[in-house]
Amino acid sequence: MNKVYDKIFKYSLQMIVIIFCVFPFYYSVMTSLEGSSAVFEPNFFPTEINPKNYNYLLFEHNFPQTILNSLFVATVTVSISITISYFAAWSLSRVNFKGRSMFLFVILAISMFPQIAVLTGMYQLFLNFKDFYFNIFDLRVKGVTSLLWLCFTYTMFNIPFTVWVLTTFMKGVPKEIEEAAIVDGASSFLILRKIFLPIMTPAIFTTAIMAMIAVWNEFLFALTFTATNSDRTITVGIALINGTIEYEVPWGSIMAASVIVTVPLVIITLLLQGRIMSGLTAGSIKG
Amino acid sequence: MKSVSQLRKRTALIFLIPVTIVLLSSALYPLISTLYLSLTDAELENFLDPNYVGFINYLENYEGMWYGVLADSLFWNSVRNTIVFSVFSVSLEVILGISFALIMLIENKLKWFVRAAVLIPWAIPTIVSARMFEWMLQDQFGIFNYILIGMGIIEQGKAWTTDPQTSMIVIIIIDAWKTSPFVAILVYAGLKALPNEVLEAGKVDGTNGITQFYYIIFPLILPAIAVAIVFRGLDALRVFDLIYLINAGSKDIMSMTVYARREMFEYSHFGFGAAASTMLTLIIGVIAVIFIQRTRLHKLDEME
Repeated sequence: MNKVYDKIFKYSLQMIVIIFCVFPFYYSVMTSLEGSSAVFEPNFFPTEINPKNYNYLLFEHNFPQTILNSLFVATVTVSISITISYFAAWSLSRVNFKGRSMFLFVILAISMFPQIAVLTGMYQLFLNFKDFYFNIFDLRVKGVTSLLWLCFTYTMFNIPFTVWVLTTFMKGVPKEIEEAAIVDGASSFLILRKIFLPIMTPAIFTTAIMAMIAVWNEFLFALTFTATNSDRTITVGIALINGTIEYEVPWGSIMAASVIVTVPLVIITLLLQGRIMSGLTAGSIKG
Repeated sequence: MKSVSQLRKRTALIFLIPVTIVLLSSALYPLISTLYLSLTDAELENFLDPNYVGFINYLENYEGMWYGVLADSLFWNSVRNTIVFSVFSVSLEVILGISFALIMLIENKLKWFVRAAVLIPWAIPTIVSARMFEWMLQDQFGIFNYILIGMGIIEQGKAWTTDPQTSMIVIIIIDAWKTSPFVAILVYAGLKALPNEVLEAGKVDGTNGITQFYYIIFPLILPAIAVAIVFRGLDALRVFDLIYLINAGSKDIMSMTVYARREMFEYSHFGFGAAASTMLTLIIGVIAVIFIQRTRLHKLDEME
């Protein structure tokens, strides 16, 4: 009898955790699927399925543009930071040189830096960059300025993280694998390409996904450096879906936008569950 | 054979050049120019060419009155808010995180679902979680008030997010919802790294599980918890999105980052805002050094 109770107790603990974590997401999916009148009747299960909110966002609103902007910024940022970090990670994990721990410590310190500490300086740089950019390129591509700038600032805030995680992952590769190649006289560049790349691909992929999520979710810089409808990223886009009066807040559309930007992340996270868990751990403990 | 290891060292340093350039140009330079701007009268008109004014953005006595960031009660208010937020949210996250981690250890058919569910709040953007909770807590149509009214606890819907008395609590809860999974994953990894016998010992003596946990397991996962506290704590001290989004207009619950950004981009007081953000960096820096010293995080590299 005790065993049965024990089982029920364990299952209920697990159910509490699952409901706690999933319910807000479930509830927003449900709200997003309801038409305007049903939204304003609290309930636990959808009373109707109405694509109205999604139609509005995807066809009558500039939301698709913000998604493209975010995708652009995320892709550029992540490719640059991963490439730079991959080489740096090799130096920091496989080679013994003076000042290595110091370098890692500085990286860790920068990753804990408050973004606001550089915001004023960044903004001044941004205005200079804009001037410089406008002088070179003609008007048609002006809208891209803020996005390029976001790529630059995000790369900077991502690099400490990607270097740290990739260094931890690379420390885990057995020494023997590399030693054989060194004896054969292979250059470091060749070793990184032919030996480490295949072994490290899953780790690189995990790190890239985590960096991408960080870019996708960033708000402070996006809010500061984007100013027009055409260069907004998704976080700012969602923040600005608003009615004029309190009870006019278009909750259905806000929830639909939230679901659109969240569902891909949730799917990726669920598919790569184990990897992301090891990535998160590697990012914090040295591994 | 000296050439091989020397060549490797040289290559290693070359590979570090791009990272160094990025960090110098995009972290060190703006940091220094922010420091400099905090000593100027930069406003919107003269932002690119401000005048040096000394420390008056920090503190100035003008005709018997004190001015500057350090004399602004709103600034100290934001410092207090930030510390209250950080202490309560991190404590709540550690408690929830440890509980989640222990529940994640349960081996049965739901195991996969628990681990999957725990990652969902982590993956959701802060802006989305803020909006989701605002909607659930909305005074007229929110599900939370609906449940409370149904249970007879309250008679009328309450505006949880806009009421200054409850909005800080709401913000702490949203933050805990979003980031407890991170703590849970770190602690879970710490638990997994323990020798099996330790966990088994706890299981066999199921009757006093809590005592077992407190005296045997807890001391062993303390390092993992310390790391989680450092990372979460430093993250909480620079909080921006949640506080900016929930109850945006309110001065009562501003954090330090919201305060500094408001000075810069709403009032165009760039010099003053730079001074505020420099103060924030100093405060976080001091707390970070204390944290890192106490938890011995700086010895991680030697611990290999």
